[in-house]
Formats: sequence, structure tokens, C-alpha cells
Amino acid sequence: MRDKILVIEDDMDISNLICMNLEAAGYETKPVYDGNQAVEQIEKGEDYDLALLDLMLPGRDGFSLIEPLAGHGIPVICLTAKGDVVSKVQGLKMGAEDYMVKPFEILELLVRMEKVLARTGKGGKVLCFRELQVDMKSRRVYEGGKEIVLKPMEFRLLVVFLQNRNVMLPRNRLLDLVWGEEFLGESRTVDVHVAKLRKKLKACEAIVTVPRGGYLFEDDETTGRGKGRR
Amino acid sequence: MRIRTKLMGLMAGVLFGACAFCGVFAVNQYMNASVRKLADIEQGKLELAERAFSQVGTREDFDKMGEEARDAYLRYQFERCYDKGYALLKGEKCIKNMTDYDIRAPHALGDEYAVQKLGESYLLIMKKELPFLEDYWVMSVQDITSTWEEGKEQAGKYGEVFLLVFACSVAAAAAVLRHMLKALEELRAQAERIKDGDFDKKVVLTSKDELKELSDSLNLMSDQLQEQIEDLQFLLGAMAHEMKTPLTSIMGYADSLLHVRLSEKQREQSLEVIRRCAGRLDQMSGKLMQLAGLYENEEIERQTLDLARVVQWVYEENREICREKGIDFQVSTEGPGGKMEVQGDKMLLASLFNNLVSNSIKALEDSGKIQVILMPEQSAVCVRDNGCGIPEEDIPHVTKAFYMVDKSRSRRQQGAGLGLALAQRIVLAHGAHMKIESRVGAGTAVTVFFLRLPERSGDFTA
Repeated sequence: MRDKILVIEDDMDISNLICMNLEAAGYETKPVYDGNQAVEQIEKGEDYDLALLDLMLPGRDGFSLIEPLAGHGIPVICLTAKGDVVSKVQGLKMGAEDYMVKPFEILELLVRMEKVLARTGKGGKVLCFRELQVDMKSRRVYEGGKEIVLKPMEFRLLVVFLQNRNVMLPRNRLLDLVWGEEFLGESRTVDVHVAKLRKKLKACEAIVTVPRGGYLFEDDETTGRGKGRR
Repeated sequence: MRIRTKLMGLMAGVLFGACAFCGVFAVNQYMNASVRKLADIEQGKLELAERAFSQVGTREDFDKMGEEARDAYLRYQFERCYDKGYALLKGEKCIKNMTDYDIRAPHALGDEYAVQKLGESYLLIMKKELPFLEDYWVMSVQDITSTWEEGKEQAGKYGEVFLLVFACSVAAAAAVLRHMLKALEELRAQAERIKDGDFDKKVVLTSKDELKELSDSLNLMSDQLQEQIEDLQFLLGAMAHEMKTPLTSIMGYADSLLHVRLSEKQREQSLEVIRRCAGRLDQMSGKLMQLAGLYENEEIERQTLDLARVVQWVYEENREICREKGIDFQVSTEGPGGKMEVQGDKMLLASLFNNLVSNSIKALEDSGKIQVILMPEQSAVCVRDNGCGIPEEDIPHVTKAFYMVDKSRSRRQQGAGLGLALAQRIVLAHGAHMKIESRVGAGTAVTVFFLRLPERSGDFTA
């Protein structure tokens, strides 16, 4: 099951941008364009795993939405043009999980969302792709009903791919995300592990090497290319 | 050197000079007067004794005597008639000395009297020729040390008084000076504060002089500077914010195109958004440049224009858009007809009415009504719509750059938030004024009142 994200942003272009990218990466999104609509959504009792909140909204001030969202157990990441420390501190103090200043990078937004989802325990328990099933809790991987044994780093790499579908991941970013920023290995390490994943899992044929120096996990279902739901 | 030091030095010098001059003059006068008094008394005494001395013999008697006998006789008589302190002189020679002093060079003494210092004491010396004997003189030598000392004591006392008066006046002058210079110092500090960008503190002077006027001007300057800086800060802040939104879109969509696997349709949409947002930035920069140009350059081209023609041109410009949106757009003339001529820049005035009309278009959802009314009698043009209107509390602010009444509406309509600010600048540059009337839900009317041109006989048309 895909994670459901509430996108509260009044600018159509930016809202579309976020939804487009989140859906490509494998999330389900619900855009709302003002504070009152957002309150309606919360009160309807819709179950959202995360809310992306613009602080400058018509109708209702973004800050005033943090508490009701957090109160309903929806973690909040603030998105705003206000880069000043006071706004950041106020947002975080009121219960926001994280804070991003516009303009932002898509990959950074995705990474921060995963971090927040993991921290709050809201993230998907099982990641699925075709025959592949990854149980995040027991850290077991099944393909076609059969369990496949992966080494810890291979497992983490697979999870990063599944969480950032259709997003080009440069080798150095993969090193940072999987091995950590302190790791002093070469980008060859990534290539070796990707090769192992491709060998062990059939689904990992979807990992495409991008000529400009990265990898991309293709999932047609989420981009609307395949005969998927979109 | 500091002004205070200079003024103090000058004042002390002048005061010292004046007091010292007066003191020396007064003491001198006093001494002279007392010595003259003594001399007068002495003169009287001499005359009295002389009268007695003249009784001792007539001129004939003395002529008969031999010189030796005459001198001896005179010496004897002199001793009888005169007291201590007198001497009888014959020419240069002293023949009888009853003073305590030696007498030398008596010819050096003039007619009147002299004061001579001898050791610690002062002597008053006088001489007088005997009227009945030729070349016989009586000399008086009196010790006037006590009088002299008294004079000196007086001078000393005067000196004390002088010092006291001098000190007091210097202190008073210093206090007055300090007070005046303190005001100067405060003004300097205020100027310093303005330089450092601190506009909150003001100089408060209680005096009512030129310094007070200066401080008032300085305070006014500080206020106006602060206002302008705040306006500019607001403008910059608003501009940065307004730029961020399209920039976020451009960067985000470009990033997505580069790094995310999108469908063909999504790619096209992304490119469209980038194109549109870049256009918005371009439009904003164009308007900003126009605004900056108007700020910088108060001088505008002035030619006599027929407003009806300018309005007609604006009408042609916007007619198509209005027809597409189903808006009823009309130009009409109110009151008696006639030419409406103004002095101004054709392009700027066209831009002014274009801005007003496009604001009205933005205020109308669909199928509204826009009227441009020419009012030759008041020399005014009114742009009226029946759109959403502006809340009363926002009306005074709408001419500020980037001020947006409803953020979401403005963004959806892709306005830069500069239209009315620009309109206001153009209106001011033409010496005209703009009146904004609006009610929420009922519509907005913006009227521009131009300066009336003096009647002309010639035929001027743009």
C-alpha cells in the first residue's frame, strides 16, 4: 500500500510539481489549496501518513494548521519561502517534524519525507513492486513467495530504490543515503551492490543505469506510462 | 581645536584684559590722588612756614648783610621757623639740613613733587624757592611710606576682588557655553545616529533659537529617511518573496525534468510551467524597471495630448481580451463634450490606463462590466468595474508595490503586484491625483484627476 500525503499549497504550479514528483516516486497525494480545505480533510478523518504544509496560505495561516494536523497524528513538514530562523523555530516548536525553504530540490524533499515517515512509524510496512515484497519491519525480502537473503547494505540500497522510484539517483547521493556521509568508499561500491541486486532479484532489472552517472528505478505504474491505476 | 576650547579661551582672555585694565587704572588713580593730597597739605605747610620765615628780614636787610653773615642768620632763623624734615638750599648747596637724609642733586627735582623710594620707605620730596631771596630754596622731605603701603594694600584687595569677579564670570560663561554647546553636541550625536541608521531617537531641545530650528529639521529629516528606508525595505522584501514563487516552480520543474522519469505529457506540462513562470519574472522585472525609472527620473516628456485618443487606444488594446472573457467593455463621455487636453507622456498615460483596465479585468470573474468614463468638466478619467472590490482597510495600501489584497487571487491571475504602484507613480509624475473608491462585492472605481490646462487659442492635438 502506498503512503498517502496531504499537500497543502496554494500555488497551483508548485502543488502540481510536488504531486507529480511524489506520485512518480511511489506516493499517493491529495492536493488542497487553502487552509479551510485542509481542515475539512482532517476533520473528514481521512487517514494521511504525512502533510506537506505551505505556511503562507489564503484563508488560514499555515502555522495554525500545524497543531490540528499533529493532533490527528499526521506528521507535518513545513514548506515555505520564509527562510528566517524565527519562522523555522516557530514552525518546529508548534509541532512540525521538519522544515524546508523554497526553492527546494525534489530528491531532498523525498529523503526528508522518508526520514520523517520512518521516525514517526508512519511509513509503509511493506514495499511492493511486481512480484517483490519487502517487509520493512522484519527486514525480509520475498520474490514470488520465496525469501531472498540480502546483505544489510544490499537491503538498504534496495529500500532506497523502492522509496525513490523514477527519480535519478547519482552515485554519490546513493553513497550518502546508504552508507552514510562518513563513508569514504568509491562510487564503484555502488556499482558492485547494484550488480548484486540485479543478480539476486528479478525485479531489480528495473534499475536502469543513467548515462550521466546515476541509477534510476523504473516503475511505469506510478508515472502513468503503464496500464496502471493512473 | 574644539569650539568650546576656542570660545572659552577667547572669553577668558577678554575678561582678564578688561578686569586687569580697570584694576590697574583704578589703583593708579587712587595712588595719584592720595599722593597729590599729601603734596597739597605739604604745600600748605610750606607756605605757612614761609610766611613766618619771611618776617625775619626784608630783601634790603639781606642785601646789606655779607654773604657769610646772611647764611648764618638764615640758618639760625630757618631752624626757628621750620620743623624737622625741611632743608634750606642755596642754589645747589644745602646750607641747613633738618631732614634725616642726605640731599644730592636737588636740581633734578622738577617744579612739583616727586616720590622717591629709599630702601623700604617712600619719600615725598618738594622744593620751593623763597620769594624774598633769589636762589634760596626750601626743600621738604616727608616719609609717606604708610600712605604708600595703604595704596598697595588697596591694590591687593582690588586684586582679590578682581580674581573673584574674573573667576565668577568665567564660570558663568563656561556654564552658558556648555549649555549651548551641549545642544550642538546633541545635534552632532543625532546626525551620527542617522548615519548609523538609528532613526528612533530624536533630539529634544528646550531652547527656542536657531539650534532648536536645526534640531527640528534634523528630526524631520530622520523621520522621512526612516519612512523611505522602510518603504524600500518593504519593496525589497516583497520583491524577494514574489520572485521566490516563480523561481521555486522553475527550479522544481527543471529539476524534475532532469532527474525524474516523467511521462511525455508531464514533460510538456513542466516545460509550459517553466515558460510561464519565466514570463512572469520577465514581466515583473520590466515593471520594476519602469518603476525604478520613474523614481529616478522625475522629468517626463510633456506634450499636449487628447485624453480621448489615449483612452481609445487602450480600448483597442483590451477589447479582444474582454470579448474572450465575456466582459462588457465601454468608453463613454459624461457631461458636456469637449476636448480633454493634458500635458503628458503618451506612452506613460497609455500604460496607466492599461494597468487600470487590466486590474478591472482581473477583478471580474466572468461576464462583468468595465466602463471608462471621460469627464471633461473635471478634467478626469474614471475606470469603473463591477468586480469583487477591495476591502476598505486595504484601500490605502493598494498603491504600494507588491501589496496584494488577496494572495491566492493575485497568484492565480498571474499579477506582479506592481500595477497600481506604477499607476500611482505615473499619476504623480503628471501632477495629477488618483482616487480609489471600492466596495466589496459591488466593484471598484478609480478616477484620475488631471491638471486643467489653461485655455489655448491654438490648435494642439497629439
